[in-house]
Amino acid sequence: MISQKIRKLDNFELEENPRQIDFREWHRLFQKVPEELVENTRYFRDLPNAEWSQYLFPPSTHVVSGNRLLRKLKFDNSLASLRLWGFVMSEGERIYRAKQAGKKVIAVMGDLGAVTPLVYSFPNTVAFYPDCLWWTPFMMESKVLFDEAAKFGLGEDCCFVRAALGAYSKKAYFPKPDLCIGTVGATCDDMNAVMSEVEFLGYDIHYFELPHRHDKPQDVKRLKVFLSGQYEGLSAKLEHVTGHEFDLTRFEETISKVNRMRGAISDLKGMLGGAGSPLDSCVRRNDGRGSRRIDRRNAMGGIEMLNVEFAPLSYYGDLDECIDVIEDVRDTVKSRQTRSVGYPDQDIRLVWVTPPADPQLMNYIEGLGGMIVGSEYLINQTTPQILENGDPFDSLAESHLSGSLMGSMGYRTQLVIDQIEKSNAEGVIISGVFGSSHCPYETTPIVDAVRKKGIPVLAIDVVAPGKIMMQSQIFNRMEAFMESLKAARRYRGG
Amino acid sequence: MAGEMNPRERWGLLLIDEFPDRPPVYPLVTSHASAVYGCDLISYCSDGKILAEAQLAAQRKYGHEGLSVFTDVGLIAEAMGSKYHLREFEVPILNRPIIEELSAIDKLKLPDPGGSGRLPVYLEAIEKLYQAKGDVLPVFAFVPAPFTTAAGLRGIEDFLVDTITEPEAAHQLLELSLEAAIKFCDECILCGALPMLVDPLASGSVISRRTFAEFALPYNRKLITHLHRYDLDVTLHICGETSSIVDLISDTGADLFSLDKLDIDIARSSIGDKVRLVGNLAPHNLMASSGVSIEDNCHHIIDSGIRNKKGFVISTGCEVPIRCQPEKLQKYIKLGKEARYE
Amino acid sequence: MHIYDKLAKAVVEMKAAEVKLLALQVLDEGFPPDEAIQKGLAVGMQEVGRLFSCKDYFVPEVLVSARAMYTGFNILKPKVIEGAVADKGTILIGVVEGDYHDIGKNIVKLMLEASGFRLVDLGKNVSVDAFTRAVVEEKPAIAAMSTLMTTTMDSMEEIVVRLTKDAPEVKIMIGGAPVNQDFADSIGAHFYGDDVDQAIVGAHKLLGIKA
Repeated sequence: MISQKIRKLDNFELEENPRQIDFREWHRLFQKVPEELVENTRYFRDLPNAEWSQYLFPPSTHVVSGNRLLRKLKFDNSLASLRLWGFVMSEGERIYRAKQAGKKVIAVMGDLGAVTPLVYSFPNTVAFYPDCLWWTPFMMESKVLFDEAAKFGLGEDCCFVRAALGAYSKKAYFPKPDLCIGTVGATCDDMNAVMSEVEFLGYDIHYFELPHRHDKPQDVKRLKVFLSGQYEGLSAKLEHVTGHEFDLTRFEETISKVNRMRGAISDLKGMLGGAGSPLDSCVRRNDGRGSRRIDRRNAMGGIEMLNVEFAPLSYYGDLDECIDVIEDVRDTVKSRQTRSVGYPDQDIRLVWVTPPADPQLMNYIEGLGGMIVGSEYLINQTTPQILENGDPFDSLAESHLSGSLMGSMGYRTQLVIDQIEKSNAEGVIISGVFGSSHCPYETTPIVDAVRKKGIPVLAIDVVAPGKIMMQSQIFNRMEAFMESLKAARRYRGG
Repeated sequence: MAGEMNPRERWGLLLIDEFPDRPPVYPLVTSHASAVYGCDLISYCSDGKILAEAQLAAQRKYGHEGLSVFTDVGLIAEAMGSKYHLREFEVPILNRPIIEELSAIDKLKLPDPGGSGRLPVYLEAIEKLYQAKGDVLPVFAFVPAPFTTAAGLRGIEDFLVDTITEPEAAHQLLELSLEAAIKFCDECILCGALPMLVDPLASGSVISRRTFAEFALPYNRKLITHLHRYDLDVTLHICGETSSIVDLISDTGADLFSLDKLDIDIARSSIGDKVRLVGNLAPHNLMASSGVSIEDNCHHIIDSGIRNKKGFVISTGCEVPIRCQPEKLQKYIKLGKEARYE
Repeated sequence: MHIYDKLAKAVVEMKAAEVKLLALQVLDEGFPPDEAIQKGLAVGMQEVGRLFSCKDYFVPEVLVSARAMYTGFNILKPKVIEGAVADKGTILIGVVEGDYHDIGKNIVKLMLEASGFRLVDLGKNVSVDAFTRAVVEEKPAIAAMSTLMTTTMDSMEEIVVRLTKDAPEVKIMIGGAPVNQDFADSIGAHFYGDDVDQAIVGAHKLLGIKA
């Protein structure tokens, strides 16, 4: 009998102080996790007899199945982080299990969070985000999916999202979707190329168009009408595929859950990007015995936060569980900040721009003393609250139009500047993707704008798996960059 | 060819109950790899780099779908102090057990995976194989199960006698063997391999159902429970005849059962809805001298196994003989790869 | 119950201490020791063999019974007058080169002895040369060999080839987990036994005598 009672971890910790540990340490620490927690941390809690649905497992579990990069990463040592990693790493199996259990499986491509709330408002339906398979070659340190995509002509001149095409071709990474939604228009061009190839492979794709980028308020109104119509069309398609009619009550319930999750993510980003002067990077706290200086240090790892920020794209296949997972992370960070504890020796405040497909890079910068206090991962549109009582499709449209992907290049640059100012960042890192259509256009203006503010910026291209020598070049540049930030701090500090 | 799965992908699907095209084809190519690579068995058993190179050479030659790190069932017993004799053209054998007198049990120490016996050889081999091919091929670390290790610590005959005349001492020895196995399994996992338990002595050809239930099963279950805590799928290999204990295999918690001299139909009807089956072409069929054609013999195995409810892996009943005829193994693998789920 | 039956029963029940007491009693009370071996210990071991064949007993039980039997045997044997025990013929037995698993071989040996054959045990890991030489020197009626490992099956084949040339009159029987009738036929062995029971039947059959 699976107990429904354990949903939250209530800040139960295995170790008192936060630190980053490798997979070996997690393997051993995991022995201390109470059996009851392992037994009862499950996805798809609507399926009572799902013996396969546990997911609270350490990284070593996923090392054995070929995720070789996990051996090199550093993970946060909280149970919330363990749960987050377990949840993210079990997504592949979860989607297969969903299909086996009779749920409808919907692939949302190129979407970046636009249609997911609508998909989940249909009963017994889960979404997954094939684009995210760009992570797999890095996690497995493998060229398998890229080689497969290359068989269809998508080589290194295409973004890493081409891995999704490899996965569609191999039929071993997710089950055949009941519906593929291809979001086109103001989305990733490379993913659009992938979608065309996927269609040639024989998959039926429902295209959903996101309108072009525009910043003028009068245009936004017109675009909202257009987008609302797109949602209406998609809703009809989903009714057909799932066999359920669109249900307003259910929709509102779903939106309220989505908002809860978005709220938790906003809270988290706010906490980590909170105030702190770059001049001394310390805060004062009155603990009753007078004011004392306490170093403000990193309270959650960059890759854990990356996982959190990617959650609204498809909720990793289980919206209800995803909320709990993220709220656990939020509660952990909150508790750490209350206690003024963080990772030792990580206090150089950085904003990260464009999500790195290779999570190792974030670890590396943290290892050099960096803490990521702000991010611009092209998915800010997934954090605003969706209007709960308006016309459903209008609300979705309005919410989506307020995000970074929808704006102009100048708008995105401004988002980055805002992040820097809000978080008092000392430096910016932009991790571009070689071959990706948006990176070459956007990186240069962002670099220029950030430099104009007097903030040092490092722009790199993420190196494909296996190119070890190229990667060490990146590491070298990161080291030099962090050295210069430390020197700048010494200079400012006198 | 576009759309073709690699072994890692095919195994991954099998372990989540997906049956897309065909079962993995994974004959137990162990020491035979040394013959392919052209090295003697002393180097194969005592040098992790050579073991890994040989495994890769054999996999390149045959295209079977998994790498096997295994030399002999004495591995853990040796790491705990029993003396094994390494030989140039045969697998190592027990020379002198550490527990000649039962009173010596109290002095027995758990092995250090990083330094005891040939455990580091294993770990080095796993590491190298995982590094070289871990993204496309699963690496299996064959770990001697507690019953087999206890026999290696005590001497086979004496240990079997102990189960009747000195049961408490036997349990004590098994408890230590279990702890050692857990410790070693953990290291294998951290190097990237999936542990596979081998328990040749717990065979129905050797011990009774009662002895199995009292001395082998509980320790296998504890070891498997430990591995299940990490959500790993565990294969249990038991040599010889197992019809008297086949129904108890699912009680060990094993996710896959590698069967030897047991009709696959019996295994299927007994535990096939709970346990994936791995098997079981008789290894002697692969010898040059065997008069039976591979086709004749594998027909029943593949046709029956492929219908196993929980899944199937096309394999051999036991290790491929060191000096098997390569053409016969190639033939079996080819026929295996032509099999299709219904 | 006759003391021989008690001996047999104690062997079957794996009670070494009791066998020892009974053997001493046999000598004390003046029973012929060869008869006590044949009608007591051997009958007990034959029953053990039967239990083994019908899978009531397994290797551990047979080993413990055998140890009990030897306790008595070692007491009685020195008192036996030469030639008193029946001899159905000599069988030379060994585990082939590369293999040190001799439990199966020991059990077969024990049962053949209990059936009245004279056994010459070459032990384990017997090289092709040593095996052939022993056959030529001992001139047994039967050469029996076993292996438990697939890796050593080909040494068996080599021995058969050599014996066919150097000692063509000897009958060859083989056994062991990885081998079977097909293998026996393919290498030219005269008999394959799946278990100890078949080994006993086979030995009689090969020599044309009744069990």
